[in-house]
Amino acid sequence: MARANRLGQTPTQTVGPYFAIGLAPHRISLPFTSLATEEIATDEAEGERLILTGQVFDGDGVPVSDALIEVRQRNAQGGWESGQGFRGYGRAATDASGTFSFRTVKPAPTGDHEAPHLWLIIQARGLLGPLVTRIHFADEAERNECDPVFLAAPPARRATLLAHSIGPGRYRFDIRLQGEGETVFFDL
Amino acid sequence: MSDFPSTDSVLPPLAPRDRSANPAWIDPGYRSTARRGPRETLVAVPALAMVVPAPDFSDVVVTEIDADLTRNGRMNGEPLGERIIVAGRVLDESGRPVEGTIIELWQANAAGRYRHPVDDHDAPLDPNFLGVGRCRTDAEGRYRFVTIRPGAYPWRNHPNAWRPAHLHFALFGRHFADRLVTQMYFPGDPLLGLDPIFLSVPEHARDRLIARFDLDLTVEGYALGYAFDFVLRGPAATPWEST
Repeated sequence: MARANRLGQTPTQTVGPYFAIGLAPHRISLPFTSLATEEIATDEAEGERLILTGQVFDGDGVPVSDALIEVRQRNAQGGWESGQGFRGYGRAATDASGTFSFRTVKPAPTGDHEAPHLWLIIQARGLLGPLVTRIHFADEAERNECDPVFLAAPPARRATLLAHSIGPGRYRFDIRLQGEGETVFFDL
Repeated sequence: MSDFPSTDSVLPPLAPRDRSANPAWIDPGYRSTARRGPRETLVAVPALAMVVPAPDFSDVVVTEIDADLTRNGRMNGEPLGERIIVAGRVLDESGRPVEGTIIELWQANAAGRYRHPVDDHDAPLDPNFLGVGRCRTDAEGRYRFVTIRPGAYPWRNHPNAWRPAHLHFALFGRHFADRLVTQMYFPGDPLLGLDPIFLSVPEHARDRLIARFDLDLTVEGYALGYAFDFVLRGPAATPWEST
């Protein structure tokens, strides 16, 4: 595609190991208000409550203790609108065990073919740009099999996009940056 | 009016990220990329996925002091170091200003030390400096920070490795996928040519990360001014645009 008459995009750089100062000051008790937290939706928000947890691993299976996870999702009515306790966006920084956790509500499916899902952006020291992936629900197999983004992933790798139920209202989604079972990352 | 619609119906699809101007996932000079960068090819997605709107921060109050790092961390005096002003515009690649987006900034202090529990560099913390700020762009996409010029600092990537002085910035365009986290560097820094993170950017695009000294932004008797523009992705090119 011709890039004539377009300004050059600013290149990305790593968030580095100290991003919590700017992007999650609440995680290091810095006296500066965080723009967003792990709470994508408060208790006031309409919808089925979810706790989403997982771990981030590197190519050696070592937990990544300095990753930033950002989530964007539709509300329980299928819209992007925030309000009534629903923010539609959350941020978490992994802890020493590479674990992150979000509190939210389950997004509604939309249109004819879009399965319930959440978009994720992962950044970390050692990542020179944002990695984009998506969480689908393993217990929504029928809808997933019609979802064009889920189906865009190679069949053998689709399972990396699935969050699994680990109890009432709790789902687990691990992220593997590299190697065996590498998570599907989208070109977005 | 905000630039951030809450429904996808009014959001034009997003142009692709220009991979030719961005670092590779695995960079031989930057050691941490070896086991963290993905090795599989990124998966292309259908066009509908290109319309995920950026988060809605319209209810977030951003004050002038949020954008002044020389004031927002004061305990008992002023932070030490050279005051600077960093200002510019946020544009998309078609040249349209990005209005109402929040830019987040974090950085080391003048001694090259971050206010972060993981930073064990043997340099002093500054009790009057947090190293974090926030600013919202105006209708012309303009932003302006007042801060302290950060110091260079050592890191463990290779023997005698030093990061050039830099500011970390994070912002969104109109789309969630239009996420930009980057680092701004200072002109004439001798460490630039030795820094694998800066050098991870293809050569033709490296100058996009270097601020320009600007006497017009400089406030007499107070602080030197540096100009730095962010260029985000734009609307996807339409067929008639590419003819």
